[in-house]
Amino acid sequence: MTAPSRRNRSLLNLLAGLACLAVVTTGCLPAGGTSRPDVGAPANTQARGDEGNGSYRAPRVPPGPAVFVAHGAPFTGYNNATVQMNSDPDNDVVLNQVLADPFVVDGNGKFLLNSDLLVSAELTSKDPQVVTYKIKPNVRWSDGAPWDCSDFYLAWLAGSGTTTHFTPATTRGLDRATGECRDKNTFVETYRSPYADWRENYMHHVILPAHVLERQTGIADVTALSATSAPADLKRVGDFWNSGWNGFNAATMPASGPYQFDNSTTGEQTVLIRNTDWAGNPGGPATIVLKSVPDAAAAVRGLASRQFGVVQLPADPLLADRLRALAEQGVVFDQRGGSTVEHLDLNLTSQLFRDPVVRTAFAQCVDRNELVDKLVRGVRPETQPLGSLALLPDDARYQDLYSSRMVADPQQAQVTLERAGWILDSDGVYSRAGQRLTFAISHDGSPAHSMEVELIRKQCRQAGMEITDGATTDLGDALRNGRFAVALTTSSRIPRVWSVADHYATKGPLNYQHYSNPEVDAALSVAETEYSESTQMDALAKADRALADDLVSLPLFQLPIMWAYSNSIDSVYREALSGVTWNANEWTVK
Amino acid sequence: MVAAFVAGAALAACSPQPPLLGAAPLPPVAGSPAAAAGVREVVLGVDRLIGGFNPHTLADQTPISEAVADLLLPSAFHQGATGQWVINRTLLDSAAVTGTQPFTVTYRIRRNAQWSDVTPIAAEDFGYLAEEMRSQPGVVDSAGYQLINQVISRDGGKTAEVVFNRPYAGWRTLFRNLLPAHLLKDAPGGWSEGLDAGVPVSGGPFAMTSLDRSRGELVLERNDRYWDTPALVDRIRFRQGTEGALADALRTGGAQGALFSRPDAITMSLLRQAGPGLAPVAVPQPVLVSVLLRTAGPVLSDQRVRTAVAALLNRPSLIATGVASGPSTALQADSEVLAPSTPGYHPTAPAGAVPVAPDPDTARRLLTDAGYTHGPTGWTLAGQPLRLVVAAPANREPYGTLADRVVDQLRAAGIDAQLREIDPDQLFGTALGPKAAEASSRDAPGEAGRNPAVAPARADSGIDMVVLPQPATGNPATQLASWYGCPLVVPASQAPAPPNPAAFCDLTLQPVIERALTQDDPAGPISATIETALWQQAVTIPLYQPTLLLVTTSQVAGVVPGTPLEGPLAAAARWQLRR
Repeated sequence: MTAPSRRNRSLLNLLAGLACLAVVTTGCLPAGGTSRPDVGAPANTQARGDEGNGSYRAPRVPPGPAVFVAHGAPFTGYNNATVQMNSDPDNDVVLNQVLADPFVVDGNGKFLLNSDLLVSAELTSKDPQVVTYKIKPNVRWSDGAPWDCSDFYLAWLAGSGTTTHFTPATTRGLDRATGECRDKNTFVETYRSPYADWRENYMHHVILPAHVLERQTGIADVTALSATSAPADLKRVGDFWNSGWNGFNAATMPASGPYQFDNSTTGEQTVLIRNTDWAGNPGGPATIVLKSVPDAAAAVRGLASRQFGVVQLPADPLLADRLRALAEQGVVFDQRGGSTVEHLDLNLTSQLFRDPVVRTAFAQCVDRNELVDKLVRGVRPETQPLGSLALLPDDARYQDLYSSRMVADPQQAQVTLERAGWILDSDGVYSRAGQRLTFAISHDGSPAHSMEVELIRKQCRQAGMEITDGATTDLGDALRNGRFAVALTTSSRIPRVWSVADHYATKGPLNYQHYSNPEVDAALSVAETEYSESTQMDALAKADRALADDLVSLPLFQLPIMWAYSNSIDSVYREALSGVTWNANEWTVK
Repeated sequence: MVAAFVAGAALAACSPQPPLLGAAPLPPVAGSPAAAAGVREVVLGVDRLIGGFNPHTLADQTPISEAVADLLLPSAFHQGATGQWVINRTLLDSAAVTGTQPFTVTYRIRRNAQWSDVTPIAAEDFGYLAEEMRSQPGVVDSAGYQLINQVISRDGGKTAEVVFNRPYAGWRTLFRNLLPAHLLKDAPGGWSEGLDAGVPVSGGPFAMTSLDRSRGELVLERNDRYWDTPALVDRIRFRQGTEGALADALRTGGAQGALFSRPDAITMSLLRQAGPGLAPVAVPQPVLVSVLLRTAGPVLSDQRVRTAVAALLNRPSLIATGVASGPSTALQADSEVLAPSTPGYHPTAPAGAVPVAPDPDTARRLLTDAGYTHGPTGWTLAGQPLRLVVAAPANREPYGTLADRVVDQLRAAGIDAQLREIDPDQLFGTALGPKAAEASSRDAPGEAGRNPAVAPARADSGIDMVVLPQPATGNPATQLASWYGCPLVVPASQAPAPPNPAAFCDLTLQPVIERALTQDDPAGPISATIETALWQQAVTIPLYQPTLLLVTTSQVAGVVPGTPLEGPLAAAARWQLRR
């Protein structure tokens, strides 16, 4: 499986947002930026429907008026799990209230069983690992069809890689299991190997209406399909799953969540109304109108003029300042560290970076604090250079493993190189045995990344390294084909183990650096299969330390995310992957 | 008093201070609080603020120590641009040879010459310096002081009568950078450590008022007790930063000058990018970067092995690493005694031969002659590997790096070489001195008892080679005797002086060395014969003369760097700030 993961796609979209950062460089805080406390009440990270027993029920919320939400790009597809959609966050922000998941993940990343729809979702055996989803009877799609096991089965069939006719963004997790419907309301996964993150398998709007697919393809029963079914049948369902749900069509896009599409939805604006077939308590806002506003500054103006109640924006220091300035007009601005991190990935098959001395020296010359100052602190003043490849600063087990290695001292980098026999030439670039210390940093060409590369180029020029800007229109292709020495990339740390294993396990699908360390593989294997969270975290921390010792990637910083809303809504919180609408049904609107 | 100064420095560290260079852009000086208050302050960026401030010890041979020494510590004579020695009339009314039997020099100290704590500068300071230089290991150019029999104080301490055992042609080079005896002589570790935390009093135009290493800042203020023409600027503030930060500060006006301690091609590139209007001046330092092959241990006491080791080293590569395409590229050191910047210097290195160029065949032959055999594990003698310990002062680049390269080169040639980076005070004060030999002698039997296979007990510190600073711009005969001479024979009333860092003593060369020290030979003190003999001995492999780079902006007028001995800030008392 070589397709980029769904998390990566999200990050690319976030990155597109970060690109705005470069445009407003002059608006960045000076070095050591002053603290600018954010205004407004603390946002609520907990789900109000948290029952306190590991489950979620949509709470009773006073009915309120419509809420208008501004976000970036238009809604493009109902099936956001295809390689084409790749978990587009602008689709997620729409789908959060339309397509229900078996679990609700709150702002703290806590999994809560969606008990409006499910009786249970449990690990019913450890050897072999068996997971059983029990669906409540009489749960229905908004078109009246049952929300049942066939929908789970379709999600498994499409996402497991069992047949090549489906093109999901990722098969991770599902590819270890075989799915089956024991009855209409019981879906069972049997795993070939233990998998601790099984709760992730049907998250992020992958449970789609099998009955619609059956209707559209003429397949009588999707649960009867398997890898050995007639290729023509598989192709028909695959084709529809891959592209039949692109764009908008109310007839083929029923809802399983608290809201459903209204027919007035257009290309630029999605209108959600309460789903009368929703099994739980109805959502608060009468309607939720999600409008695509590519010009973030216009979204801010719209918030100021009360055209919008909520805005989900790219992280941008200038916009952040404008939003902070609207506090007295009843605008609440908020920001937090997101799930996305930036790092420099070193290609261990390249002649230069297979040498640990060069990796060490490169790590020593990069001044991450300058990068954070110029790119991040304008939005999130408290951001520090990132100290881990596996964990985020908010994680309890987070440990800064890189400050002592990435010392931002070009002279120390010079000492490192010279002790290994590198000699400085008259042009100020080191060479050894005819090899010059010159390389490119590949990146996606966004203004923000171009700016970062330029900063790093200048920093490491002081250490005798000649770095060129390796902007490319197809970074993914360059990565997949190993055409890079160093790549500036982003990745999500949610889910933690997936992310690390994808990039750094010897057989990780995104391990374009050709890194291989049996110690890391063993630790990640434990982390992937161990059910005890403390044991899982111990293993992850061990892998993290080994990665730091090997200096395979250099973590730079955690990208911030930001949002703002009118104080006519009680609380809005931006969940790292799903966006601001993850709990829009709970909003109390005055 | 030392404690009081340290406390003062600590207090300074607690009060609000400007940030380090590089931590944040510095405000232009015109808008600084100092400027607003009318204080004429020059901000000098420095890339390294390391080491102590005793300019007489090898351990403290750092660019910053050298740079500030002449602003704080008065000297009897100054070295002129062409190498001549000129009496310092600020300190002395006169200095002259006043007797020949015994050879006597009388220094008359100006009545008003005083340290900044109002203690007079006196004969006691001459006596203290003479005694320490004669008795302490790891000092710079000690041979002249070894000739001193006694320093007699007369005229209430304002006359120092220095009586020598033998005539000393280079007597004018003595008593540079006097130290405050009243503070150091009774302080524990006063000589080697008393100036590590700063210079507590001054006998020059500036006084050190703050040293905060954690913030990378050193402040010199005009010495109000200075009895001669006062400095024209009120303050020189040294701020540490990366080279890039220094270049930025020069460009933006955050600093009016900068000292780059090891300028290389990157430094020059940064300065070119910083724009026009900068005046960089390369100032050679008063030392050579050299590789020392010590004769103290059992391995390198054999000249054949020393020569073989020298033949295995790739000297051009070591030089290229050290000079890093910077200004020192032009200062390759091809004399065993004189630095390239010294008047009268000329190359004496054997062209194309050891140690100028590697010669593995010669090395193999010499090692075989010495009884070594080459096998799969490298060179061995009676089954024991040829093992060499290569030392360097810690945290004193490029010495550590070059020692590392030496180790790599030797290992590649089959020698079991090991690197030891040692605290400079310990390295030069103990490990290479006579105390190390005593300690090793005590320890050796026990060590051998634990492991019968170990090599025979060594009567030294176990350090075979050192990459270190070799003093090279003072009086040539003094340098020759100090670096290569045996301890001079002294009256029975005096303890013998410590050996030179190599523990080298060649009784056939010694008469020539002593004659050069005591007779003013118009043909020059260092004969071609001596140089040739020293190259053949392979005790010192000089590499190059390091330089530092003083860069000033147009905001500073009157910048005239001194000689290598005087340092780059020799004229700082006459600097003026242009507004």
